[in-house]
Parts: sequence; structure tokens; C-alpha cells
Amino acid sequence: MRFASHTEKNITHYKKAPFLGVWDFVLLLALIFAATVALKYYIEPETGSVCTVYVDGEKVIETDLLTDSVTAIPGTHAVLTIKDGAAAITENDCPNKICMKTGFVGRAGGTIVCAPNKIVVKISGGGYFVTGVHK
Amino acid sequence: MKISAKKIAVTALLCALSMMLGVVESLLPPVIPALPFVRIGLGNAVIGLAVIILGAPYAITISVIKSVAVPLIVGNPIMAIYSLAGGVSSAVLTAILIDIRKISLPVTGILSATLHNLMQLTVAALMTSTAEVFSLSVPLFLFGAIAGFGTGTVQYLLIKALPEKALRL
Ligand SMILES: [Zn+2]
Repeated sequence: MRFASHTEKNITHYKKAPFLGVWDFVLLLALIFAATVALKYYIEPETGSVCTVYVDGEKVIETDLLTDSVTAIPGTHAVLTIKDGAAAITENDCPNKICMKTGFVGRAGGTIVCAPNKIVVKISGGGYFVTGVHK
Repeated sequence: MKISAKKIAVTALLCALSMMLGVVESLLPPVIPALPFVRIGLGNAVIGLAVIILGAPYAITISVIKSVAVPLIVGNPIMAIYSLAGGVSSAVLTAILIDIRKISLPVTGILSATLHNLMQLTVAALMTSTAEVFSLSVPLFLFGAIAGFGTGTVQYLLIKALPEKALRL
């Protein structure tokens, strides 16, 4: 166990170590840069074009956001409404109705979750917004 | 490596503390409602301290026990997969970063929290077969980084405040 012998040196080192050193500032700057770039893409995502509904992890509906529709979500008492390029859960029998209070979601990456009924509605952009990186 | 009774006692103490923090955290609402098993990892705050005063093998042991025990205590066995992936990988990174003694504890906390979240999201992506989970993750990473900085600062202050006699086991 090579690491174990390090404890003596570690205690001495961290007893005296400054709150932030040179390496820390370099790393912090890099992290702040990465966070800024990530936030920019997170705040300004593409308008979504596809709406996917999962019930208990299984995909039950995949539809585009361009055509208005009202659909019952299979296996639940919930209703999915698509209107003006956005989707909402407009009817549900869950206790707190958080999913319905979320309202209409139309941005890529947007989600509506109904935890009690295990429904997840996900909005994605048609190939423009994949795994958080613009293509 | 000498295994003293004192070391075992402190290991048990830190293990209990990290489990307690883990249970408390699981009672709080999840950061990403869509991914309820993804957690910031408050229980991992103890790991950095364990690496310094006990050594990496002890710290990683604590992390493994905590990652399995907390999900069983709160009745969420599936959570163990997330906890193990996030907790153990970040414990190993914490051990490496602390042992090279180049960066400070708060920044070590940020990096460990980031790896913790990255591993949890990777598990989520594999389990749900949806890579989109990463697009939900920006607030999680920011939240985790701030929490990691916070826990690292607590570790920094503890090491400074505790008498050297108490630290050398
Ligand atoms: Zn609901």
C-alpha cells in the first residue's frame, strides 16, 4: 500500500498549504471558461422539433412539434397536448400536478416530468442539439 | 502500513458520518427531477479528510461501504449503481489529487464533484439509453462544482483547525 505512507507528508503539507495556489488559479480559470461555454449553450438552446414521451422508461410517443395534437399517453391517465411548437401535459391524475404546472415546453433539452406516474416528456431539436453540444 | 485500533475507530466514525450525510441528501429533492438517482454527493465530503489522515485505501473503503449502504438504508437498491460509479471514482480521484499535493482542497473538491456527476450521468445515459441526459446536466455540474468547493473548504478549515496530534493516527 504505497498511498498509506503518504499520510504523514499529507498532514504536514495540508496543515501549511494556502487556500488557493498557482495551480488552483490555472484550473479555476479553465473551469470558469468551460462553465461559461456550457452555460451559453444551455441558456440558448435550439427550438425543439421532436417530442418524445417515456412512461416508466419506455418510449411510448414520438411526435413532431409542428403539428398541433391532443393525445392520451398510453398506460396512464395523462394527456399530451402539442400546440404552437410546444408540448404540455394538460391532464393527469397525479397528486401534486407538478407536471401540469410546468406548462408548455418547446426548447430543445426541455423536459416535463411526472414523478408519481413515471412520465417523462422530452423535447429535442432535429439533430441540432445532441448531448449538449451544437453540431 | 500499520493498522491501529485508533485508525479503525476513526474509519468507522467517518464511515458513519458519510452515510449519515448520504441519507440526509437522499431525503432532499433531486437536483434533476428527471434523474432522481443523480446526487451531488454530500457524503463524499468526508472522503478528502479520510485520504489525508487515514490514507487512500481507508478512504476508498469508506466510499464503497457508503455507496452500497445508503441506497439500502433509504430503500433504493438501484441507486447503488449510481452511488458506486460516482462515489468510488471520485474517491479515487480525490486520493490521487491529495497525494500529489499540487492543488488545494477546495479545487480538489470541485474536480471530484465534477467526476462524480459525470460518472452518474454516464450511468444514467447507459441505463436509459438516452444520451440527452447530458443536455440536462449543466445546472448539476454548476451546483456540484459549488458544493465541491464548499466541502473542500470545510476540509481545508478542519485540517487547519484540528490539532496535529488529533490528525496523526
Ligand atoms: Zn404529474
